[in-house]
Amino acid sequence: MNMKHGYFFLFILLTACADSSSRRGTFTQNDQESESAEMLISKPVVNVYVENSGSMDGYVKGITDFEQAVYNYLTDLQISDIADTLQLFYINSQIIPQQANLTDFIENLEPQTFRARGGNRESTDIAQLLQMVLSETNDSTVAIFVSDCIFSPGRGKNAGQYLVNQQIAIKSIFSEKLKQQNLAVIVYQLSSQFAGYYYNRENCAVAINDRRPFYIWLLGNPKYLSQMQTNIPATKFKGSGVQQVFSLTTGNQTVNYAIRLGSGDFKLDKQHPKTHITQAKKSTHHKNAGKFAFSVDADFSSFLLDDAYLKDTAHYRLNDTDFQISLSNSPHHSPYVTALNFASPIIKKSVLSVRLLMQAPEWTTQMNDNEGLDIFAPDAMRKTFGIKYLIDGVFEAYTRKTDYYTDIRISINK
Amino acid sequence: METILGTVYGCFEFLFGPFFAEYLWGYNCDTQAYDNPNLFNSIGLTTIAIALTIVLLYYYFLNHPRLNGAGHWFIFLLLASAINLLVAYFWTVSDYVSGNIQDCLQYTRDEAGNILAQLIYKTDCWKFGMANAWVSAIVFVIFSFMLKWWSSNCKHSPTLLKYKK
Repeated sequence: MNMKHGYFFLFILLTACADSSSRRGTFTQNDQESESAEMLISKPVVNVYVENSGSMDGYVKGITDFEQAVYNYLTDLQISDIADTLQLFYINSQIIPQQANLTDFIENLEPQTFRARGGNRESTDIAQLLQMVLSETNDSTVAIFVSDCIFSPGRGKNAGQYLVNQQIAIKSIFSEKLKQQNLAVIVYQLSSQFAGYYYNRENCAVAINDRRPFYIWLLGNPKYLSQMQTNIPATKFKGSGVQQVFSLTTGNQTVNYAIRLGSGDFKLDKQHPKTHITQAKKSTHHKNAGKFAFSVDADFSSFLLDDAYLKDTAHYRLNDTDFQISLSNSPHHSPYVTALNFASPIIKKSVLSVRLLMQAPEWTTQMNDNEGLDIFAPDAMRKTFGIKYLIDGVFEAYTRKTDYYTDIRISINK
Repeated sequence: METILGTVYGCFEFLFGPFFAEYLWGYNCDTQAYDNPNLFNSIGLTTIAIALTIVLLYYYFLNHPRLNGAGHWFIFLLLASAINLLVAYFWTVSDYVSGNIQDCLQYTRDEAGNILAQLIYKTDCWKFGMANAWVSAIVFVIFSFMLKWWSSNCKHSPTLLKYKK
């Protein structure tokens, strides 16, 4: 070896290694940071709106599951110390503040009190109610809206047209609100004894004594709603418990995710270990023998979605049909919850895109009463007139610009 | 440039395994990034320094005519390799014993936290030591051919084979 070349090689080698060995944090990755820049106060003011139109009287006659569910939820909220204050309101054509404390408020939930609190109790304009609630909701407040969510078009109106118009109005209201603040929605469907008058779409009253569905809406910043969901999960609701849940947050969000080391035969890129795979090979062992396989652990907690939604492969869209996806829990001690497992019979240089889709829940179709005329029709008792239009209106507002919650991108190199 | 030594050691990965390699690269299970110290560089530089020291010892400090020969030179090569084997072993085994090798590198676990497979064993420290011995030998040979020329008594040790025409 030429001696001058030898010295030069030695100098380069020692310089390069000395430069790197003393440093930490060389291979950090910042491109997937999902830290929000939002500045929120630690505890929100929670405004509770209980609809007191005539159709609600039947839920509050005596001690009912309705009262137990609402009382228990609000009590849990108070003792969880996640709300700054609880402010109580009745709502119909106007918002009617209540000065009573929580216990008195619940104890006074009786048809007589509903009537005494006033407002226009004759008909319910759901779009107007939601507009009133949203107008009082901002980044420091959370709204809890309790209602039967039954549209009442009134006598002689075209019900189909009315529902579509309400859907459009609700879409418009939520779209406008979404321009102003980062708003999330959770809708719980519950059921309760109902002893009172049911008003059909023609406003004809029919006396019933049966179980009827009602809804608790949570509206506010997703971080607050996430706290509430964590502290008071759907399984903790009293009364008859939660039957269905629907939640929505704004789409196209960035989440934390990382390729799991050792989940297949590949190396992680040293500069971008969370998102870049190098030296991809087909597995020679495990259940994916003969396939190129890997797993990605992701944190979807900011989306307020339940486990069933996240574990359903129909809620994911891949840009590469060669890959198959399966869902599971992330391993113990992982900072993530959801594991996305991928397998493909072929390896090619590509960028795999996986989108978590925003999809309307199927239960709104099953629980929707499209006629709203005969409460004694088969299954009508457990359904709600126009609930599908209501939920679809909200859903369309959230999916106006994008149809996915987040896009996970994995770069694959052979 | 920071990955030169890791790439060299990567040639011996079949000895100590991919997960032990990730530990040496500085993979951090908590951040899922390579932000722990790169031990390939730390151990590699130490190995180079030790090999260089023994080469200088052989050619310049001892520099004895009786040591001028391939046999003696090879003994010094083995000495450097043995020292570097032990350095690599004790460096890594101390991390292994003290639990500094993170869980995600040591075990495959299921959702409940049960261990499905162990990925790193104590014997991998010895295997990495052997890999380091090989790297040391390579470095020793390179330094020998770079530095032997100014040795007054050992400049012909070792000699390259020459073919007669």
